[in-house]
Amino acid sequence: MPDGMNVDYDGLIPNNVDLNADARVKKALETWHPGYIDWWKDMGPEGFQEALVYLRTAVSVDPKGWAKFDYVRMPEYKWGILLAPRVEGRLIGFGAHKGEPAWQDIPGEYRGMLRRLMVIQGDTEPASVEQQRHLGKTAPSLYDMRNLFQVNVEEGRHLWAMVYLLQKYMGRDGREEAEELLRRRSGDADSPRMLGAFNEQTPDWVSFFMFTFFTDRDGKMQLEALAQSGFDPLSRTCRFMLTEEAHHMFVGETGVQRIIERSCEAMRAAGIDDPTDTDRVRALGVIDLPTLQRKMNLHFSLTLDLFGSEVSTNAANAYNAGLKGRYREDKLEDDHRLIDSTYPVLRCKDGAIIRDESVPALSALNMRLRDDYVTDCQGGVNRWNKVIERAGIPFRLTLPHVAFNRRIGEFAAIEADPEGRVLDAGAWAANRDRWLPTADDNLYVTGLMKPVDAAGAYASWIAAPKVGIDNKPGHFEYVKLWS
Amino acid sequence: MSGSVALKQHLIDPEICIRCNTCEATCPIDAITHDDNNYVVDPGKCNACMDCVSPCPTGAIDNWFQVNAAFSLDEQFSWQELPPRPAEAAAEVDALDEEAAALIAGAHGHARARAPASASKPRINLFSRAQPALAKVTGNIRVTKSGTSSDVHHIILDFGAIPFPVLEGQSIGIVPPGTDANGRPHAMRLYSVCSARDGERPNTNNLALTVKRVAEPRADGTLFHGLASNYLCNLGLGDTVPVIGPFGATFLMPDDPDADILMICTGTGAAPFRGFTERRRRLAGHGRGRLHLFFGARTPEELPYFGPLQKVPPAVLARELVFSRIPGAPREYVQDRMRARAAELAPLLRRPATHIYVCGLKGLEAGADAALAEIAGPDWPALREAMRAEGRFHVETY
Amino acid sequence: MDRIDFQTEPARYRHWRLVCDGGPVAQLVLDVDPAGGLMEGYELKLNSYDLGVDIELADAIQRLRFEHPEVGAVVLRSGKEGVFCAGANIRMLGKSSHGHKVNFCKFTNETRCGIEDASANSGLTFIAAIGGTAAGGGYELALATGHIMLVDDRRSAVALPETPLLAVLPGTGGLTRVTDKRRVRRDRADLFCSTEEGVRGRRAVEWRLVDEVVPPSAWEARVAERAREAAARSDRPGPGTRGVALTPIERRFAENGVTYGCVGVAFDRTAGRATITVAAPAGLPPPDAEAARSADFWPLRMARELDDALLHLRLNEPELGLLVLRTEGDAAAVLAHDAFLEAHAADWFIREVRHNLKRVLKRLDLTSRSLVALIEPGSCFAGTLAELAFAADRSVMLAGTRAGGSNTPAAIALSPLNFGPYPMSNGLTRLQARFWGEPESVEAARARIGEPIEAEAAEAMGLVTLAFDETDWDDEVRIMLEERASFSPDALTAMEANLRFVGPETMETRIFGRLTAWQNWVFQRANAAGEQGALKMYGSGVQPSFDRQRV
Repeated sequence: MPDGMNVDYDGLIPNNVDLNADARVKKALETWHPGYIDWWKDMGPEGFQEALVYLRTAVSVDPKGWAKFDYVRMPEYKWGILLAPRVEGRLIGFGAHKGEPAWQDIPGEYRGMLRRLMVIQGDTEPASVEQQRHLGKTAPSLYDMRNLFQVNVEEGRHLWAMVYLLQKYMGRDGREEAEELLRRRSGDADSPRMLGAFNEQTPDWVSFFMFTFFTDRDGKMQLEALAQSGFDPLSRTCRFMLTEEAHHMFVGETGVQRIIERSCEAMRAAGIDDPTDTDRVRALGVIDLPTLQRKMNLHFSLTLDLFGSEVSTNAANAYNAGLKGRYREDKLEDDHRLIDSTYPVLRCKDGAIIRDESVPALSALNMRLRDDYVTDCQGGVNRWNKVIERAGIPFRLTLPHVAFNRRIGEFAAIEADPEGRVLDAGAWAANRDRWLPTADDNLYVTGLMKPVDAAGAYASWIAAPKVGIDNKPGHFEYVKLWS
Repeated sequence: MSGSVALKQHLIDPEICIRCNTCEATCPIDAITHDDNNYVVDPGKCNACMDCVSPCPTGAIDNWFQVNAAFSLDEQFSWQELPPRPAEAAAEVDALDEEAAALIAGAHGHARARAPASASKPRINLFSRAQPALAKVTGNIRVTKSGTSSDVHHIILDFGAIPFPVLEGQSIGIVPPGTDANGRPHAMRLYSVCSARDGERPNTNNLALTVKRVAEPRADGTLFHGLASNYLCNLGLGDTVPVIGPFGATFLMPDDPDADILMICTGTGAAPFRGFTERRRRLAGHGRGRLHLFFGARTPEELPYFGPLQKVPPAVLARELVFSRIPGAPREYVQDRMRARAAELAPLLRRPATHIYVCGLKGLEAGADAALAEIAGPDWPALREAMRAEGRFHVETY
Repeated sequence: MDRIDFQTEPARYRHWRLVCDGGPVAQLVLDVDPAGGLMEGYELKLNSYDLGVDIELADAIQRLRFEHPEVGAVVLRSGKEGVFCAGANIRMLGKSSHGHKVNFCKFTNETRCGIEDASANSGLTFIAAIGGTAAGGGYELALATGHIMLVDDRRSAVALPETPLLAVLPGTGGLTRVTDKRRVRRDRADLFCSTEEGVRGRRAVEWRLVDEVVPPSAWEARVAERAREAAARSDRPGPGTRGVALTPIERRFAENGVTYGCVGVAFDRTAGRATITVAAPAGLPPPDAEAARSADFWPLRMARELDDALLHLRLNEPELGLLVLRTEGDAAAVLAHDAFLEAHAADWFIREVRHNLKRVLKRLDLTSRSLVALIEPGSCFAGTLAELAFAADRSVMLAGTRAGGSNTPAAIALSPLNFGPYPMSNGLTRLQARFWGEPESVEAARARIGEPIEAEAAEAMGLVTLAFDETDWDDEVRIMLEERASFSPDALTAMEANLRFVGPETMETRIFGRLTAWQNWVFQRANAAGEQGALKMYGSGVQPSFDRQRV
């Protein structure tokens, strides 16, 4: 029997880590639990805590039986601690300790670094729940509402995952950090979440879909990098989280795709050939493609800031220590140490954007992860464009240049247009509204946000999905609001 | 569904797939790969273990095409969308295992069955003859009164750490140990699961079967002892049982808690309905739907689960237990009771959320159908077919 | 390398903004230009600093003292979101020579002691408003202020991560101030100094690492309130008072020396020495304190020039190991200025001038060069300038006159300023340090205030090391200087530092004598500075490899 397959579902906290045998951690988690529930009730989806939501719950780490779908009241969701099964004989795959057996216990010298990685990852999980807590009230369908809530409860579970690691491996400091994770609040003036993008508002569903496509994808990249960790419990935790994270990617990608489908369909039906004829398109009650492009520009650029400085000591340290790898490190073919290699980095030199070929690869790991991220995003954008292309609409969505609208890293000090041309302040101010959502855009989108809560019905601006969740038919009542 | 030599090929729908890599990361034998365009399944490698299906966030993974020659990897890489679906591709595939598929087809009859629209997506074929799940017997008790001729056992199989997800109404395959007279392994038997999806108690990884010990008189006066049923009924606690499946993708209960469910059965045909009842009982309070059970037996002593059934709250279950051999009482059959309750059943049949299930010996289907026709009126055949097409009418007989 | 210049002015700052609006509260905002490093090869990220940043800080503090008498409180804060100051730039430390590191460290320490001096003696309270993480030198900077406020946003922390992160010490007073100034319990200090991410929130207050934590929503108001309160307590003249502009120092750099208005520095590179000559004021002091308010007021001008000369020698002329201290001019004029400084000690400007003289003399004490004062006819080692002789490791006095020279023999004169206003780092006057264990000698000297003391008497009183007459003077002096120049510079530095600071320990001597000495030892060790050491490896991601042997 592989270690850690067995999920104990009897206790307060479902787990496959034999919590019953670890009285210290069990007590810590049980102490933490009421605070978590309070947090969920305070900061979780507002107005829907009593609704029955058709949710999947991870109940096993074996793919044959890992998820069950059922109607659940969200506060009763079974948030558990699930780690991917332990792989016997797993070795550290990179850095100075490459080839040594993966650590099952925390190496003392890296305790601080690991704690920081966990806290930062952990902080993003509840943050997005907080950012999205008002969206239920304007859901364009029960299907979308259910997807929102699924994302929310799973972010909650991901918080549990990090809290478990903190409490299991980080001693008293870990317990304090776990408490702090419940105390910080997205956008709060006094105790904001740690990363900028997680203190921004998610004011409408278009933002929500963009956030899940772009910002949750950063989460995915970070999890992918941590899944490579030489600290085995972290790796196993993140590997399992990635299975859930895929759903979040799905919600974002198909959400935007369905908006595009609906807009294209409406334009064709109305005989509108010019997708930039915003007034006529908006008269149809759908979202014009240029607005989507601007929303995309905003969320993409905000998310790029999450990758940190292009040249980073912390990233180098974490890699060399074997704690955080590259995206799909195990599939890459090189020495996995990166002591002597370089990686090209776009930098800002004397106000111009240049490609610096001489940056040590170890120091450029943030850049590399960001490059992988951009490629991943591009794939989704291409699929969106296929929808537009099939509809015969002359318009293509494009990712802006990485220097566009940045606040952190090399390009923080300059302004650049979406093609990556450096602009002076005047040119930026003059053109900003062409590239980023305007007050008018936001007003229009907000105006569209009217709840649709009849089973099988969808708001005017979004198409029905091709396939239901858990293969459910179109009219399935994903959320029962009456109870 | 059976008899064809054609191949069921596993394909990923490129229009729905979001390229999240979950399937590739999950596949235990590296049968899934990708290029810049698509994620694809290597038909030479895929053994339909289904590991990739449940974690897929989109449902893109779950396409099984009946083809004569497999689509190559290069063909799949080039797709922007799936090729046209083969005409006879089943809406729901009960089993990828030929033997089990044939058994289910036999039990469901010729009519094309559909799953209830709101049913959970069943997992099928996770374990095969070659690689069965090994379950441990943790319970084996007789649920009919001793002394009666009907020896029905309630058998609990625990899967320990092995995930064996089943839904109420699904079946599992059991192959009795040993070989037949020709030295070949015995044929597989299917048994309906009689427990709820989350186990005998909530969140236990086990399931239960309702098995009647087959001992039928032969023409020569001796008794025929059913091989598999006797094997099961004779199991001791702690014995290990190889289990195949799960199977069945249509005879499933609706997840819609507002749905009314009419359950008509005799004998061990009650097995799936015990599962339905348990499921609803655990969800009590979640919905407005009710269960209506018409359950026939010779005597209360021979009615499996007679005692426990009395304890189910009426809000969950309207119970009609019907007996044909009560001394001194007229013989009453299930269909008689249904007619007697026509006033309640007639409006029930017209409700769009009503689902009908018939399960028992072969003869039950005709009797129940006749009673329903009488209650519903002349448009019953049309209504029945409409309900069947919507996944609201189900028959499983043996 | 280009000459490092210690002169700057607010208009040329690249890293600080000094915001004075005429009110009693000034803002000193650290907003480091990453590309503005003093040398090539590193970027000053996250408000990390190098010597260039600190030169501006030192300048800003001087200007607050002289140019802004209206200011009673200074809020020290960051212009960058989420970070207060990340401390000394590690890559700069990794790339710098040992000598540069030591001198950088010394200067930054002097600047921080200067902040404390302003608080203690000038009614100028510094408030550290830590609105983001303050790490290493960033927190050490805050430690120099009188009131530390930390924003309680659940992420901002104060930290001294040098030991775990860099294998060096929080050497800019950090270790010392945590225990001696803030009285953090030493075991907690141990925990704090070995925790990379530091301490935040309530615990930071509980451990006395900061004075208060403030939620972000109340932050600006609370900072302003604290500054107002501090300013209200100040005894400075307050708004409406005109300051004294610190006009640019006039100086000329040449191959063989630097010429200032009343200070000259002549290099003798072959001999490895520089001669610093300080000229007495040309005339009598101004009639009143108001008339004195100018950067040309001799005590201020002389101090600024001498300060610049010392710093120039420290950083730009490392091979001139011996400084010969000379004076020229009318001792009476010097004594007259001393009398003026005494008479107007209560005036805000004169107070600043006196403290500035004190600091420059301390800078001299702390200069790791051999100091020899030559007291010859025509010199004016009187009062304040006599401190130069008392600061020297040796002083040699010419007895009598020289043929062809002045007809007046060399004499030393004392003033009240030799008996209190110019303490050394150890809290003693130079005469007290000189006569450690014989306080009667100090009293004997005090009895002679104002009298010219010629060589024989001076030697007898112990005010000079040796006295030679004309016959021996040239040879003795030449041999003494040559001999001095031949010794190991390291041994001399160590020996002089030990002998200069007799007697009691103060926080300052602990900072300069213990902390930086240990730091300099650590800086020399391969574990920090070797090819595989922590400073070199920092940022590469590669772990340093340590020689595990305890020394």
